[in-house]
Amino acid sequence: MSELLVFILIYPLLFAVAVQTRVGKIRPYEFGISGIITGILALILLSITHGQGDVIAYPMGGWGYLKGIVIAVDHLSLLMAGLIQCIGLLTLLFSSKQSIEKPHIYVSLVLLCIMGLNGIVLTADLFNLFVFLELASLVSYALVAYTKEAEGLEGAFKYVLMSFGGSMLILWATALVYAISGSLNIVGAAEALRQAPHFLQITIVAMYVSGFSVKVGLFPVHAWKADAYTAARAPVGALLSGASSKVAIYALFRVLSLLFGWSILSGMNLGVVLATLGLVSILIGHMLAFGQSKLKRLLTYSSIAHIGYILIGLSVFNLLGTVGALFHMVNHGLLKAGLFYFAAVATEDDEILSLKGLFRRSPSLAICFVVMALGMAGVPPLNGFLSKWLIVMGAMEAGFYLHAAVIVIAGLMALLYYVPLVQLMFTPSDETQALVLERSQMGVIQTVVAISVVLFFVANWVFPVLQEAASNLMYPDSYIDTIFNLN
Amino acid sequence: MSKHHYVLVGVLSISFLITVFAMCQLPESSGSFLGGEALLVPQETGVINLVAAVLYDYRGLDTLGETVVIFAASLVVSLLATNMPSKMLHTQLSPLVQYGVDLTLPFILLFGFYIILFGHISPGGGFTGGAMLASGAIVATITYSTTNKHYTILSHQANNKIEVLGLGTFLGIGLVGVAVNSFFLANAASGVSLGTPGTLLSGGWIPLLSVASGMKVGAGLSLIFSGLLEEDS
Amino acid sequence: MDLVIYLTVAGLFFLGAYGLMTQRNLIKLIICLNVMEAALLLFLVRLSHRTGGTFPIIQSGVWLYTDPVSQALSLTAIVIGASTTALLLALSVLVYRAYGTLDVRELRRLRG
Repeated sequence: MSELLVFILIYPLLFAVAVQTRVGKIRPYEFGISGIITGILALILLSITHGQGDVIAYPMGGWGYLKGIVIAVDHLSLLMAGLIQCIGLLTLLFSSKQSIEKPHIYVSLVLLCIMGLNGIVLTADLFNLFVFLELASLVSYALVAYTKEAEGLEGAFKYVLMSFGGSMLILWATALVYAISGSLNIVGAAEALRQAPHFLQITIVAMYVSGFSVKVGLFPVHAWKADAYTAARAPVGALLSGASSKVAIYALFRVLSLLFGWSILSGMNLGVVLATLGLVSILIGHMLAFGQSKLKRLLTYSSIAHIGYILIGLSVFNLLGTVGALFHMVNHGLLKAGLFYFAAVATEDDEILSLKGLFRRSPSLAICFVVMALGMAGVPPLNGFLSKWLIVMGAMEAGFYLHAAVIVIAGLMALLYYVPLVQLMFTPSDETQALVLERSQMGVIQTVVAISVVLFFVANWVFPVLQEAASNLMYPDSYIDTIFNLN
Repeated sequence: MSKHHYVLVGVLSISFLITVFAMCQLPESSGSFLGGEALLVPQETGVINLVAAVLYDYRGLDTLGETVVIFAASLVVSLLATNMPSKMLHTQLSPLVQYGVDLTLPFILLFGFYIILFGHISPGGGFTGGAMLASGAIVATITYSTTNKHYTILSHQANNKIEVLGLGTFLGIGLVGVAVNSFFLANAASGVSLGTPGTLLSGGWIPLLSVASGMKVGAGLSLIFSGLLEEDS
Repeated sequence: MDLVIYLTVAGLFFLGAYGLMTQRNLIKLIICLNVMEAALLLFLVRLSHRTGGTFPIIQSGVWLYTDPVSQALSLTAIVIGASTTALLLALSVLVYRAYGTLDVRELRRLRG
């Protein structure tokens, strides 16, 4: 069944080309949505046939890891791929009722973005990862500029300038890896790289970390994120914040942990460095979120902070923290997507003040917002609480007490800026006309809310899956063996 | 020169020194997977141009990804196109340029086709040749366009069709491998005859893949150029 | 000889980065990005070098060839860079129409 891997990689391209060639003859949204549903079905089929603890590898063109490109999945990649397709599906579902000009190009671009992200998650080859990363980035720039309004263009331009610099650092690091080992496969290059001079190792790690930090939008290089996400349409913001930045974190940790192994990395104190970067991102993100007048901008700054949580969870490098971080990727991806959709339908021109009296105009929407905001802040009967709690536990276990304390305090800070919004919604306003939404848009938001409540109560079933994924990241032996034994 | 400026220069110089120092520690001559086995390549892939073997056979997925990047770029440029005629086309070029282009254009295009078709036995390939074809089209547009008429060798729709056809061919050849129970983008492993390395009809699927990516690149770059000029013809 | 190339690679790259952070004109910023990319292409081509190797097309009687892989990589990187440049140029035309200037300092409608 390993052909399914190829299908998951190229199905967005097939559907994008079909949408592009039959303009006016097929309805782009319906077609794109059915495409992503096929992809999700393929993923489900793959995870059923996958079996316990197995890794499936597929050699492109029949060449092994030495000469060719290998794509491989384990539970971690499957989890990320599932997240990407889900957010992609929600994006298309939600955008189908927005009036977007040239819908066939829009749908093609979203599909190509999904293809790029799928490629990053599936590939086991460093240069191939760069190619797909660039595909996803190029399409993201275009999606940000899609409105062709001044803000969108400005956001996109700033995004390209920073992101392209990051790509160049990643390319440089990849070239250095190739120069040392003569192999571009993540697994194949590892052995030579671990015996390379220490200084060279540090340089490569620094290049990867700074390159991917730009893509993720961590603290010192977060400026593009606020502009790009604010200027983009809400569903695009949801796709970028929900899927793209998570995939960039995944790529950073997958590449570094497979290339060097955690013992060399912790010898460089990389965990401490990354956790501290995460800590600063949390503080800066939450602080900047205060006093914003635009809702999407507030959400973006909160996104920067949440990336910090995930980063801390992964860098403490124990099972609790990793499981928490992976769970938080899923939770934050879904909730932030829901909040971006909320911003699109509930506000006028993105102004927070236009939320005034929302509860009277549309009670269900207001309640959805309250649930999502509480989930973001990490209040108990919701999924956000569980993942944050796990990250805090993981940080305590690894001795990162300061980080654990900051995460707890940061949750309170998040409450502080969500509470005024909720107050505003319950304040009566002059405008009492009921807010009627398209059914599919309301449905998307309610689905997100429902999932986030359900995830809390079925956590016992979710955790084994997450544990498998976390142990794939921490102990990648089966991944390595499968690729080595391909020929 | 503000204080900020000095900090920036300092940080960049330190990074400069670090990277130079790191690169100096690279091994003298890195081993590549083709280092010792270069002579096996003609048997394995049927082509004598090693770069073509890497691009279209060993690392075919990279090439697919890169054609998709061009596809995305031409989509994006046609989206961002401005609906305003470009001023550059209204320049009247001297007869010398006109006659010069008359004379050289056929050779530019011919050379482009040659580079694509002979890519597996001599330096070249789909990307290089496609870029040449596109540059021929661009030269023609700049020279022959008049105030009233925007000259193109191929219409926008024709370019679109060629682009999609090239991409489709690439994917189709890739899927042949899956269909015959081999691997995606497989060449020799999919049972195709490799021919005698060094002759025109050799290399299995590689010449076809090269033509497909040549179509893709040529049409894609022309589309990007005409999108940058003016759009929605 | 290697040292000269490495100095050029790193020098060009960080010169581009310096320009990226100090230049104001959008077109100049695009050129800076291309300079950074050109530096890495030079590095990739350097990696293909083998002392005594000929160009990578099999000929009878020749045993040592330069490394075709990094040449193929640089081809791919060129195409990707060209696509990004095309996107940036299209964007800068639109930016000029919307803001009436190519000065990056004037691009500050997004604030906060």
